[in-house]
Amino acid sequence: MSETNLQAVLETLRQEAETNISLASSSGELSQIETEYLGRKGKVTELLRRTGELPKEERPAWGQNVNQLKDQLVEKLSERRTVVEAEESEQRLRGEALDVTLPGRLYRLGKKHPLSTTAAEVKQIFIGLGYQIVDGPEVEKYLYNFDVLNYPEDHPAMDAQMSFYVADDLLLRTQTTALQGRVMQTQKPPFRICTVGRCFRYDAVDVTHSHTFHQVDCFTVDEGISLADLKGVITQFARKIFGSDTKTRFRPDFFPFVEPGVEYGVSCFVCKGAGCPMCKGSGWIELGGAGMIHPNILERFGIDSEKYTGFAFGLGIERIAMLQHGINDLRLFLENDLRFLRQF
Amino acid sequence: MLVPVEWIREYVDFDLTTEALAERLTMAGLEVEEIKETAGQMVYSTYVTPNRPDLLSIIGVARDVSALLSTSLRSPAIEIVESDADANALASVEIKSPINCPRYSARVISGVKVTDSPKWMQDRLIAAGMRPINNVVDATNYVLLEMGQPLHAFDYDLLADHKIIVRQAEPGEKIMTLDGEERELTPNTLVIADPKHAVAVAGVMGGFDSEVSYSTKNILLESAHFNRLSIRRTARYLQLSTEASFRFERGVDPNLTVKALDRVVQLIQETGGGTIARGVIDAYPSKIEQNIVTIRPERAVKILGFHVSDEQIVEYLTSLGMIVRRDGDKFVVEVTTFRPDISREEDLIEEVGRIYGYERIPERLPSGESMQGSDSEEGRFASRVLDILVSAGLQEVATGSMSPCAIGREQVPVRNPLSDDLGYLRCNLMLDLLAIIRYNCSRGMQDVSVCQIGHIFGVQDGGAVEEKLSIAVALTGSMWGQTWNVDRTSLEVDFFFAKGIAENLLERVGVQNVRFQPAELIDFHPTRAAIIEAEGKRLGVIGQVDAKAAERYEVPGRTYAFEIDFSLLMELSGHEGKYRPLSRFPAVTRDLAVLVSADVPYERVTEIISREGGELLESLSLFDVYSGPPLPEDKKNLAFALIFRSPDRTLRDAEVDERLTRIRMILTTELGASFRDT
Repeated sequence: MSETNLQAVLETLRQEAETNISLASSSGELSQIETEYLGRKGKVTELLRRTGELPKEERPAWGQNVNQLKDQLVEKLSERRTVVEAEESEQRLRGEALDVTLPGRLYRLGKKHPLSTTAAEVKQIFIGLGYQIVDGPEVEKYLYNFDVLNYPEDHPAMDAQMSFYVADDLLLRTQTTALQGRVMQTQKPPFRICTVGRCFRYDAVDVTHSHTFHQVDCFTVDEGISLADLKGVITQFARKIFGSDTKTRFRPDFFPFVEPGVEYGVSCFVCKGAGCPMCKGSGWIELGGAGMIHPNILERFGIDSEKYTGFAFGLGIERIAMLQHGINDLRLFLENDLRFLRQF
Repeated sequence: MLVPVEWIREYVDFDLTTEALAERLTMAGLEVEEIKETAGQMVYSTYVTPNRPDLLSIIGVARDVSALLSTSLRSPAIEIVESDADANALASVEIKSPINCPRYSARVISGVKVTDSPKWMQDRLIAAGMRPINNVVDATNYVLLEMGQPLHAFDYDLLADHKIIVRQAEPGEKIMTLDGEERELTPNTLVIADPKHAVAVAGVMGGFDSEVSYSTKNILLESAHFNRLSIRRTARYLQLSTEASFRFERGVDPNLTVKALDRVVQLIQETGGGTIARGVIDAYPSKIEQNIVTIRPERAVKILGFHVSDEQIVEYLTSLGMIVRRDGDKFVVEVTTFRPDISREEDLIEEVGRIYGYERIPERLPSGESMQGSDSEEGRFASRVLDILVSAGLQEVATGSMSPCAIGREQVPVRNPLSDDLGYLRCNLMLDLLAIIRYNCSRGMQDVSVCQIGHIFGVQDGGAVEEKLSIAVALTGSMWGQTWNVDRTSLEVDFFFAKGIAENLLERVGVQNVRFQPAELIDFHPTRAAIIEAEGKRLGVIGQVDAKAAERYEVPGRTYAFEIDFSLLMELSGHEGKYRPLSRFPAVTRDLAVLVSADVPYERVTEIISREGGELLESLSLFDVYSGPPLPEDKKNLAFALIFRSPDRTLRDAEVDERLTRIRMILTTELGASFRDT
């Protein structure tokens, strides 16, 4: 056979192969084509075997031509394969499509009780202000709950502190302030103490009253403590809870364990003091009682009231949580309806 | 107290609106809770703190207004014309209980026409919340409101021997009070009596028999000072709080009695005529002196945190009715007896501060040594435990410390419970959690898994109350919130789910040597409960709530719970996360299926495997427990995956197989085990 004839076969083969490659629509087809032309018994390999039909001097050129064809087909195959595989992959992925809007399978995570969350937040703020958290008992001695807190014997001030008794001298504490005596009995000033706990008062349960509630009591005793320090600490606290533009105000009030005694309030965080339903139009939200620790208390525990002065203030955890979440019914906290608890 | 605004104006001038004055008073310590209109008058409803009895009178309020506005206070003009008849000859007073009655003053007015009081007086009384009765009683009430001194009018002719005796009641003595109730008294009750019988419960309410009526002509007026404790206890004993007792409990000015008598006879004479006997019958065995208190300006600055001048101190205290005298660099203050709340320097400083205005207090943070704040040890551990429980999917709850009777003995009773179901202090938390499951299940919930950390209480051997912290968990239904294409029942919690949470908790806080000892426990299924032990100590209990208890507490039958002692857990807890080097050599895994008697506990089997596996046995995990056909009836099959690994070399199959053979042999000899595989 002449070289020209053989060259014509090669060209026909090239055209045939290239057409087949470009028409192939799957990677399987491409593999078949690869075997058909480039395999050990493939058509291109076959052309090489026919080298012997040519004269000796033409053989190298022929070999080059066939190898060139081989390289070209490998490249074409590879190009086509990239395209086909991309199409195939896309099709496969389309087949795997999920309705991602179907609900997730939910292992329900637990949540903390809102009072617990608020208490932890409040504690964290006071820890940041240098307060040591101390815990006290719920069953408290009358002595610590009233006597050492400067309550005159059987005073009308106790009318707001109707107590549950478990023995003559044991009651469920009506205020976490009861911890002050316990601390002063064992520690020497200066100190900054904060306690968070449960208190009890003989009160029927309704939207705004409960026989059981939670209270924070903070007190500081050091040299040079004044009402200005009290106002500063309360303002710091209020700004962390209610926002950095919160203002604090005092008005005189009476608690036997402080003198002067004040009730403190903060500017309404909803209306910023303009007056709204949250603050009943006053622009202010009353938060609790405070004042300078009565010198009688300091002296009772051998603390020099000329050298040391101190302040104390209380705070209701429920009150804070209600303000934070817009809760309007105190009963919800101890009812433990999961529909309520899961909201926080 | 209800304070008609125009009445205040009688004693002090002010140029403020009703609202503005209310705001000033509130910010100075007399809270005006509400402004309302009664009988055509604007009336303040005030809340008076228990330390300020002086504010329970219109003049008292006016005095604070005058101090706040730096204007003068006008006292009512009292002018009376007395007759020649000597009051002390007409009546006499004997105080037999001087401690409970330090002073008893009286006047006699005769020939009075008892009639209706004038309209202006009635209007004021109505505005202040009192019902007009007749000109005599109304005059006493008017002076009570005006000055704060409770008064009582007796029909002079109905008093035996015209003699007043102030004494303690006899045991069982009875009196019919003005409200028509017959009341039995005790010797703790102070009474006003004539020589025959009690005519009034002192400081609380007058007697029915000696009441002033329209036929009364001659009147004896009482203006006394009673001990606040005596009145408080009597009012409480009789469950009777009156305008008089409310004031006496808080402290009435002992030196006001005569002035108030003068005022009331003046008003009675103005409205009902009559002649006022000469003089006051005044039994006052030992005069109550005013307090003398010193105030140092520098101390005031130290407490208030802002500067007040000497002049301001003098002005404010003087305007509040005190006499102030300079003594070197301090002031000596005679405190009027209508301010029983002022007995120390701080009390005076408060007065100066509140009149000056607390809005002047600057904000400052305590200086001095900076302190490191921290939570208590219990607080830190509690939040660690709570984080673990919540991350296990439990909802934290909070239940009250007072609960119904659960076990009776060893429970602490509340002496004065609010209701039967709050009659005891709770002795565990688990029952509270069951109550929460009941509450929520009855509202249509099926899946309730809750936890709580709280105080529980018990009676110790000596009778003392023991209080400690406890941790409890209760579960029913599924922990999965939302599932689909999954069999719901396969997701329901069971004993081992509860145990898994308990084990997780113990492991995470680093408790070692934990055991679950089968036990029969109250309220738990008798064969599905255990005592949780660690380091040989009883840490708590766990189990399935038994059927009867489930019925009693109205919870689903498949309810599981555990409770753990908080302090003991804290004591046994260790550090989290101790590092152990990781082996870089490959593991060899083997499955082992052990066929044993059904009553052989899993723990016996694993003890042997662990012991015989030795240090090369890295882990063993149970993957199947089976009993039933084709196994013999009293057998069960436990299937384990064992992983062997050495920290320092690659294990050969042969040495692992050797171990496994030994494990099998020991299981056979010690437990009679056989092996179904290979």
